[in-house]
Amino acid sequence: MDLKPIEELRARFGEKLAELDTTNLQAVADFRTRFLGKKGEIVALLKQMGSLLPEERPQFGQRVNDLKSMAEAAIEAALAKARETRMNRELEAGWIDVTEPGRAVRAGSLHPLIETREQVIDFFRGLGFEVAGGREIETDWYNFEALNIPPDHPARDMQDTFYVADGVVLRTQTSGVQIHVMENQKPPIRMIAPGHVYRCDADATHAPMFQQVEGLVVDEGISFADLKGILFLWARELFGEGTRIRFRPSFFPFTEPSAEMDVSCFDCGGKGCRTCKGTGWIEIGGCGSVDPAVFERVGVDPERYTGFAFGFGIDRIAMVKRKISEIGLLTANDNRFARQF
Amino acid sequence: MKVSLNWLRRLLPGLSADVETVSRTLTSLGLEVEGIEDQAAPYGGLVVGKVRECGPHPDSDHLHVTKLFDGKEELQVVCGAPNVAAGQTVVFAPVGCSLPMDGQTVKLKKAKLRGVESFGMICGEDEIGLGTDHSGILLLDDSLEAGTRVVDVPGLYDVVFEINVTPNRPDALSHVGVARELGAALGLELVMPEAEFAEAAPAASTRIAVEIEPGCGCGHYVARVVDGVKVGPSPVWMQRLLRAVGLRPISNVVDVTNFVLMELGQPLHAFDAAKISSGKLRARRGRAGEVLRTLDGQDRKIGPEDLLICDGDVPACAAGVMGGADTEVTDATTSVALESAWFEPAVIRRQAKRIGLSSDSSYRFERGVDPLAQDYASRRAASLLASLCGGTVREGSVEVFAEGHRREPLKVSLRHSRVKTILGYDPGADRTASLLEGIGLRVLSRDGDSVLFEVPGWRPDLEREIDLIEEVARLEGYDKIPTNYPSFALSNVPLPKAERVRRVVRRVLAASGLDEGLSLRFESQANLDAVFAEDDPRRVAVKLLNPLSENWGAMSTSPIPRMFQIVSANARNGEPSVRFFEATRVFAPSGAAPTAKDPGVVESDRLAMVAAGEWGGGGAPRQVDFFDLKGIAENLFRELGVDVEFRRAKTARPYAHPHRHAELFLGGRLLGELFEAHPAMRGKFEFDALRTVVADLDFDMLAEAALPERLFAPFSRFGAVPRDISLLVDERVDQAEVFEKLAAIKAANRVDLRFVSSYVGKGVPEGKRNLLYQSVYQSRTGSLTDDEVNKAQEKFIAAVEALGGIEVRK
Repeated sequence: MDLKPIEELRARFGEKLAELDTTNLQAVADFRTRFLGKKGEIVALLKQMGSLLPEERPQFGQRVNDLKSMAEAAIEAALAKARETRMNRELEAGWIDVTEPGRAVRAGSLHPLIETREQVIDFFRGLGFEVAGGREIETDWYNFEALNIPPDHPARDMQDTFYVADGVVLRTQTSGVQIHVMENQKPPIRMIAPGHVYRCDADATHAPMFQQVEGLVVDEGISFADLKGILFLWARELFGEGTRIRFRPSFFPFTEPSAEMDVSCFDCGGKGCRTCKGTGWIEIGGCGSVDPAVFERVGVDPERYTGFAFGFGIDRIAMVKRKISEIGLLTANDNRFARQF
Repeated sequence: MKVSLNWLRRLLPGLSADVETVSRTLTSLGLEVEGIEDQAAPYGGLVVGKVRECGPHPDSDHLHVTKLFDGKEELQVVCGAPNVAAGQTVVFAPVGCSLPMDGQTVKLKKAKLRGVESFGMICGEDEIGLGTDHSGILLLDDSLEAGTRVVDVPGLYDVVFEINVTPNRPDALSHVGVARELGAALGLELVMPEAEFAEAAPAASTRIAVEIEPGCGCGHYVARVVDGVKVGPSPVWMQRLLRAVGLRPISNVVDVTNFVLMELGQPLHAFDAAKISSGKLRARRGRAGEVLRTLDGQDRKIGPEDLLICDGDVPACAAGVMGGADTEVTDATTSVALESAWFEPAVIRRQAKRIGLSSDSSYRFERGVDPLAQDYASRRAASLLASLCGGTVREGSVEVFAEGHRREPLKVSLRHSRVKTILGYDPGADRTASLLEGIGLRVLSRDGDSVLFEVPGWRPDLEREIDLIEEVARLEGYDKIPTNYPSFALSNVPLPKAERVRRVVRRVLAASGLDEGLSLRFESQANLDAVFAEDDPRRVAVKLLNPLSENWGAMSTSPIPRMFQIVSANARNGEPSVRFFEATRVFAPSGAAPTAKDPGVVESDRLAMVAAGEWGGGGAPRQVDFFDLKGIAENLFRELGVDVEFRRAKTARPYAHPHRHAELFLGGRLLGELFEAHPAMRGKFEFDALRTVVADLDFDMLAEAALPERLFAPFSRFGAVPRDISLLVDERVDQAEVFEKLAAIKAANRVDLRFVSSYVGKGVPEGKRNLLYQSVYQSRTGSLTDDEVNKAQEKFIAAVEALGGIEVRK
């Protein structure tokens, strides 16, 4: 039995393997085909077995299979090496600057004023207040007269009013929503009405359009002390746990007693600083017990029911909290403003 | 209202509280102190000096060289005032002290005047903020010790409080009123100003008669006559007080009327009695065509709603607002007719508005002066005219009441139990009464729970029980009222639907890259005309009668012009990219005439979006296009659970690119528009460099349909098989039309049909467009074989080919 062809092939394989560029995956694959492919040299040896004597075949086959195993192992090793080399090369080529900016469209911002509005709604809803809306162009009746502000009353000077027609105004206050609600709903009432209001005035601290939130509670046995309690909770929600409140006598035609509410300055705690203009207090809004004259106008019995109402400028709260220096910025839609939030 | 501390001290002799305490007390009483002006603040360096010697300057004929003792040493001081003399007590500004001069603070230095050294300056009143007299130096009381700080000399400098008096408190528009409040709070006695004088015959009525036309608006009129008046300057103390509260001294007679106005809150008017030729003062309404020349020299047209005081029948005074020129007090006046009257607040308010003049007088009349105090104020003024102007007051007065004028104090009853109910606090019955007595109310009677009070005339605002309860709270101090947490019956309060939708919209759109905007809801008619076609209803705005400016003369009818302006304003700031969304409101006339309860306006809410200029993140941004914003809108609709259809707009609009303009439909109704801004708009609104895409949606409609409960639909667990179909169509055929036709063709097991892409270019014939769609086949009952799918797709393709006009590419 001539085993020489096997030995020659083994020698040639060894020789060629030594020459093989094992970093070149294609070369390794070609090498494999040359020796182990269907038409490869090792398979060709096996095909020669037919010409051997039957007793020679096992030994010959054994030899060829040995060679084949050896070749497969060697090629597998070369392949693994080639793959690793290629992967490493790709990894190297894959260097990026991870500090370059991402590619998504920059997310937009939420307006600080409208964020504050949501905060207001959520707080009072948590206490069981309904949320009411209202129209912005209002009749004299709802904006003034039903609120106990007759024509030719000096209280009309407290608000510079935009007129649309005789007896039709841009609402100067959300307080008119009180009237709409009480016309349509019997006590008990607990509601807030956030919304835009208009005053014929424009400077660094006054905008011709701004947002207020109105609150109204009507029930049996509601007192001024209850008003203080609700607004105290509200002040703490807005400005934090240590916040104190102060009520000062004031005047609104539709509440009596009427008050202005101040909160202790959240920046200095009441010692006096720039935020509170040295006073230690920040004026937040007006409030008071519902004037019986208002109840009478909407058919609520003032002997049986009492209540309180309050109105805060949402702009003012947002501005104080976010240190926004000019009210006009809130409605300027200026990128330089918007993109800070 | 300006309130002088020196003035308060005249009325509250016991007032020793410091400025801070006075300020805090007033604020806590509801008389909010908005500002404090300490007139002495810049003059702390001035001292009282004694002129010991005064001689001529060797080298000047008007300068003097003095030896001045400043309390410590004798100094040489050169002085140019003609009235300087030895033995005087003067205001001395030593070297090193600072004085305000011409708006700056100047530090005084040693000076040489014509060769003579001067170690300081002797001051005139104009140099130290105490007046305007420039004629000489100010002479002080000789009892003052040299070296005393001038700011500590009583009555010289004042502290002025700027008080915000609410419209319900006319009583606080006077020093007596403020002093009364302060006195009650601090436990000090109020000393009312003297109103005593000697009278001499003949009686006032022999000179002046008074008549009130019924219903004219004059309720009460008191006239006094003072003869032998010598018109001249008023005394220095009065001038200082007037100046402190912002009034310019004019003459003793005029100053007296202004002084009493500021002291008591009762406006007065002084006529030159000699010029009342008819001898009769008559209050009546004006007549059309009448003209009155007022003190400021202007001719004012009078109408039938005006209230006049006439000389006989000749208009002499716009009652309560301003006097007339013809009967004005002048330097030549010797006899004064003094008016102290009560006019109806609403009449004066309308008159002041019509004339366009708000005076100190009209301000008080329209808030309501004490209807019982006219005579006292008249007497007070007469006593001053007698003592300061050398006048003699004629006997008696001429006093006329109109029918119906209140001549008695109001009576108001208060239930103690009600105090508790309203305030949630019980000060006790006795305390309640004493608080009210402290500001001048009187207990008339008690009946169980109820007390009847007499209300003084200066508080016309105290008419009802609730008014008294407020007084109790105010005087007791709001901080005495406890803080109580009310208990309510539990109830669920859903967030209104629109609010719920708004919250989703805000977050989705912000996450999509748009900033949340907020705009004033004003618009200019010019912009509306530029943006909307003539027949577009959005051109018709609700107009303001008194806009702040023409640019804000109309209420917004659409957010579209505003979106353009937002881009424009940011473009002017050099911003390369502008992206905003805004939920806003628009207004339209309803067509109906307004009524007491209906303003005749339809309000609706819109949701607007705008994207302009650069778009995309990372390396190379590109200009935004229609599909960027459309994609955002589609995502929003998906999030809101609404099915919105985009159709090519049929109507050309001036604001939209004619070929990049879609109308959006929700349930068959027009939801809004999405479009690229017309290039003409980019020019008009000056954002030429930024391609701009805008969406404008009906928020009310969107909110109504949005956020349906999402229901689960069972899906097939067997594999889905896609098959593409490539079509050639005319270039300007909308894919939606093609899609509709494809979708109408039934195909077995097709569960989805999708638009994949559109292509124009190499390989596509001129004037044609390649559209690629994908059908997805899937069965609920088992896996589909290739054969089944191919058969279905072939049938589908055949059906498409049969449609005509569409070529299937193979």
